[in-house]
Amino acid sequence: MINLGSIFVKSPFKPLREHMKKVHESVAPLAPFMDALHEGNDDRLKQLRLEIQEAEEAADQIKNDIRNHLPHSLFLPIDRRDLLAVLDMQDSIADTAQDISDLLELRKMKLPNEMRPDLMNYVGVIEKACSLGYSISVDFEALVESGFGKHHTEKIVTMIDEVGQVESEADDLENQLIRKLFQMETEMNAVDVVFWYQLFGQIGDIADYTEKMANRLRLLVAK
Amino acid sequence: MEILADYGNTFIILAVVLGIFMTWGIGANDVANAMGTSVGAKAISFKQAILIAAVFEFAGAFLAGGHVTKTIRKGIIDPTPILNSPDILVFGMLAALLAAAIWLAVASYMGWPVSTTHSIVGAIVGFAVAGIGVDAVNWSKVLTIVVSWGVSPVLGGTLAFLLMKSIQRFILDAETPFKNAVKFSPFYLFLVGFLISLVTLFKGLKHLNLELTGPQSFLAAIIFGVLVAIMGKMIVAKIKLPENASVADEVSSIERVFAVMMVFTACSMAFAHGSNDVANGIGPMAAVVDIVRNGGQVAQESTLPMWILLVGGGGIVFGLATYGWKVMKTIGTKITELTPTRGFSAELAAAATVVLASRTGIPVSTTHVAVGCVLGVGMARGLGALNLRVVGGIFTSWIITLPVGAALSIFFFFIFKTIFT
Repeated sequence: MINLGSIFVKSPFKPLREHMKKVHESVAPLAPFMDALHEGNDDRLKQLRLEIQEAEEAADQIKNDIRNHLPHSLFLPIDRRDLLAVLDMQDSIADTAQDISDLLELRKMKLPNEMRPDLMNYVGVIEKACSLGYSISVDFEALVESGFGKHHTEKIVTMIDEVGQVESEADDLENQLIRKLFQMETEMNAVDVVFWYQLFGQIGDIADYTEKMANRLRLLVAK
Repeated sequence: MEILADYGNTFIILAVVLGIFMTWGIGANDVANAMGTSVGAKAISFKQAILIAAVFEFAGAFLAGGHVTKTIRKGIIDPTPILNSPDILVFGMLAALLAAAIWLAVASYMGWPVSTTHSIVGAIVGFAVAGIGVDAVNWSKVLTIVVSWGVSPVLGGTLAFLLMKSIQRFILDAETPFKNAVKFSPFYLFLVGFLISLVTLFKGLKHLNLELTGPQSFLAAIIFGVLVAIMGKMIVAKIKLPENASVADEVSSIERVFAVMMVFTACSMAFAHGSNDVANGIGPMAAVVDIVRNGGQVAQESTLPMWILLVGGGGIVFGLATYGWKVMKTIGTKITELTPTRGFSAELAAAATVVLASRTGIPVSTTHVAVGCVLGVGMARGLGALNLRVVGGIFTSWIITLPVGAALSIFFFFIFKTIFT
């Protein structure tokens, strides 16, 4: 006897959204983390680093779970490869957030006061991009639920466009920061300059990955 | 001839017991698949599902179960070569019942995706080839049946796809989705009532002395469809969209409308299932009773006694009451991804396909049609994820069930023959 229940399997779209939630949770503490580092608040620093780490690990677990339950024999409303690509992009965001917090903490990296407001502004915009990515993820799940309804599609496309704008805003801020860094390079420790240059890039990567994830979804939605 | 006279009552008792066992199995296993989408979509409560299944399975078996029964009991085999030894047919039909029953029990235990319909058809063809001869099988009819096993899920899937697309187009994508859901619901409900009653009533129900001409049945179906639409409209009118509704509120209100509509498709699905699947149990049973009662004459034109349909319907309800509710509960909790809009599309498509097949006397697998319809909804991008391995399992079971059913029935045929002659 065939059991009709066996044709229904757990949808991977809810875990995909949950994964993005954890990814966002690994990015959101970056700004307070930098504050704590600046203030030399070691307890807070430890706690925030743990938060980032835990979020990244939780995301990894969800990622593995999705991959384990995504055999080729599944029939999905989108291409399986696209889904895995979106998952990979999301995962890169959390990995980058962890790398940033690791380097900041290991080298106790403090930025000169003149550049701090710019940095915090930059990190804020990055967080905004990531949070927008999470909103897109929530709506994408709703889109699948609704059977790719027209209204949901339009709403998501608008949000994806917005991510693109936020990403280019982040690019501008990054360039300003790098310009300032190079202006001050003679006054700073040379090794610090190199690492900050690298860090600015890595922070920007978060917005880049978010944009890539959003654009991959754009392809799926437009199909 | 003497065998029939000596053991006539034994044969009838055996046939009835095996027939009841088969219909019990259908009620215990297959009803859950027919109604699973309704319970899974939470359109009806579990108790309501049992009640609807009991009433409409019985009604389907009793009112519209005769056509497929006729095919099973005398459409597959051409009895001309054995007119002088009707006992062969009795042994064969008993063997077919026993073979199908055992194969289904084994398959259920192992969890294999086997169809009741395929088992019984395979078993009948098997004994006919071995016991009578290759010519005794009405091959063109068998071919029609086998082709229908492939066509019916595809047809159901296509219907489900179109229904889902129409719901997306007219309701979900509209500027005012909830308003449109309320506006269009009577039309969809009319479709439910119209399709099911048209196919059932077309040219009347002979065993109830209800003779209808083509136009008459058309008119009756329209009236029935309108009645269902009015009934549904009255219930749907009670669903209100909250003030300042969010998108989520709107979606859940639309699903509530479709949950109401699914009560009607659940009824028609149970009806369709009863009309198609009861024959698997009572077809061979009716053939045996027929031959023994007629003193050994293999009559082609005898009518189906009403009590046999009653036994069949009763057997299904009995199976549902004793074990089927358990299976239904399991399936209902497994299908969590299905919302009423999807369930409605899948179920209406399945019910229409199965009733159509039943009316033309073709035994199809209700479960396979249901799987086809769920896939159809999936193709309309209506579902999150579906397991295609089930489809592979169905193909394998097609290839395995027929020879196994045939072999088992040949085996039992010769055993019966040895015991009684």
